[in-house]
Amino acid sequence: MNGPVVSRVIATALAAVWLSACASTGSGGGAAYMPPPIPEGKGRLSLQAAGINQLNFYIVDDATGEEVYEDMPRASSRSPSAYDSGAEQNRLTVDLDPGTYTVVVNTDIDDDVVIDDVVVQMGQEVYKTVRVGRFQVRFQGASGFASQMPFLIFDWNMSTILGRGMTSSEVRRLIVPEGRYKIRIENSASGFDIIKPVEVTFGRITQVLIPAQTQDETAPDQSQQN
Amino acid sequence: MSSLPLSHLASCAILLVGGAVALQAADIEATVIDRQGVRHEVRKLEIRSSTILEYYVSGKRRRMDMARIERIHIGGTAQDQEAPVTVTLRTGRVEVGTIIINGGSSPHDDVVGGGGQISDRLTGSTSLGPLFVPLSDVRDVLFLHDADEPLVPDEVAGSIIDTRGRRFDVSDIRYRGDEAFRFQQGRKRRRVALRHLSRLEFGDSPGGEMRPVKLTYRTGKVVQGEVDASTVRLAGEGDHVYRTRVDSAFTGISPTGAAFGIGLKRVMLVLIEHATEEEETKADSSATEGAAAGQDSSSAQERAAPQGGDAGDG
Repeated sequence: MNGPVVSRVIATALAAVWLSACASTGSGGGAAYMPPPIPEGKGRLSLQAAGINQLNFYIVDDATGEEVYEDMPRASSRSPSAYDSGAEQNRLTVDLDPGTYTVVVNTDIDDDVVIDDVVVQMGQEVYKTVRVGRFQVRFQGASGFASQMPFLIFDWNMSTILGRGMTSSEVRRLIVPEGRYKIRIENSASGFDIIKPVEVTFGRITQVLIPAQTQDETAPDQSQQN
Repeated sequence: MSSLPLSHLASCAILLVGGAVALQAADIEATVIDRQGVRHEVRKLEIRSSTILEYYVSGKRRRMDMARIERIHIGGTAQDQEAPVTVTLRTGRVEVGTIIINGGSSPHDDVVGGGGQISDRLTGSTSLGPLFVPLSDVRDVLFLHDADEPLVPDEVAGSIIDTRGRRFDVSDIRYRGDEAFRFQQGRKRRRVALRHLSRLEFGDSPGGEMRPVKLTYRTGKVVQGEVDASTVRLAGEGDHVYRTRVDSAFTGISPTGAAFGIGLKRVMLVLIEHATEEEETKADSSATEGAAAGQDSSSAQERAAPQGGDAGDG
């Protein structure tokens, strides 16, 4: 009686091994598209920034006050060579030891977005929303004019400079906490001085269009109107 | 055999409850009174989708965590774009300023494309369901805080020593109008509340643009970084903004009551005083009493306000 039972067990085990081997020796493409498993003994924190794949942020362990993770992939907002790529890899997922953390997101202005009391539990994934939005300053007309021009980001009352930026002929979006701001672009050499209000909401890209007409170009239009 | 799964279940339950409590700690509860006098008991309160209130005091922007606020009173009318606001902190400090409501009246040719407008709303959950109130319709917000929730001191005092060795005693020290000191470590930007620090020591820099700074925490931990001490005037920077940035990086109030300000170019050392534990205990108890007294007076005001409203309506 034991002989057939043992042989059946062995056959079943061999079949299982064969099936699992078939499953694992495929192209591996399926596994590549899935998120990697959470490492043993850790939990996962995913930041949700509504379409933004990369943020400058760091994570502090509330228990020890020590910084346990940081990622600073974005260049300075006033860098003339910085631009956004359409092929950015999402870098907003972090595997952490179980615990309570504070996430600090550096934006392109002085104001950070702080997420307190982020509880990471073993083997579980926690999602946290980072309430930031994006805006982009673009010039209309006059190709070549002001492709790179610095500008200041003020608060709504224009009493404090919150940050600095640089326009670009490439795609260059600034990440700021959602809110109301004003930007000022001044070029004393050309007499260009303009102040624009900017409203940035979560998950949207605000396009700020600035007519790139010099005073010499606007004069004929005015004369025609007269 | 059965005791092991039970113990596992118990530990899981404790973990889940602990997690839930930790998550709920960030929720803000308050009583919201609108301009018609209707009261709403609100949980998970947010203003403009945030738990940080932004308002202006003497033209300077303030961002205050709602966990530190006892009461907000918005005056004016529902049509005001800049409404007067009175913010009473849990420590008893009262700040009077303005709050921007319905500021999103920018013309369409200014901002176009995919951007949306900020919703000036107060949102939250009530026992009857979600609550959405336009901020222009809100008159009072009375926050409910746990008694064991620690009070955050709203000002620090100390001494500021300039490059000539002169020492100034200053209270209500702020850095660029903020309660926190901001510095850089390479490309990383760091921000630490002044109340956590005991000493800031600024070094010399050959170029003068970036000054090294050594921060000493209350715990004794020392961190090094650098700050932007540039005096170059930026394109588009107005006179007042430039002067404020260059000459008033650290601000405060001198013992005579006069305003104090010093730029990053001239500051050498900032020593922050901290109360001893006994003094902190006394301050906490007095602040709690003050807050309780403030609550009594605010409730008295609430009792008086509807009467005035009724009289006005009549």
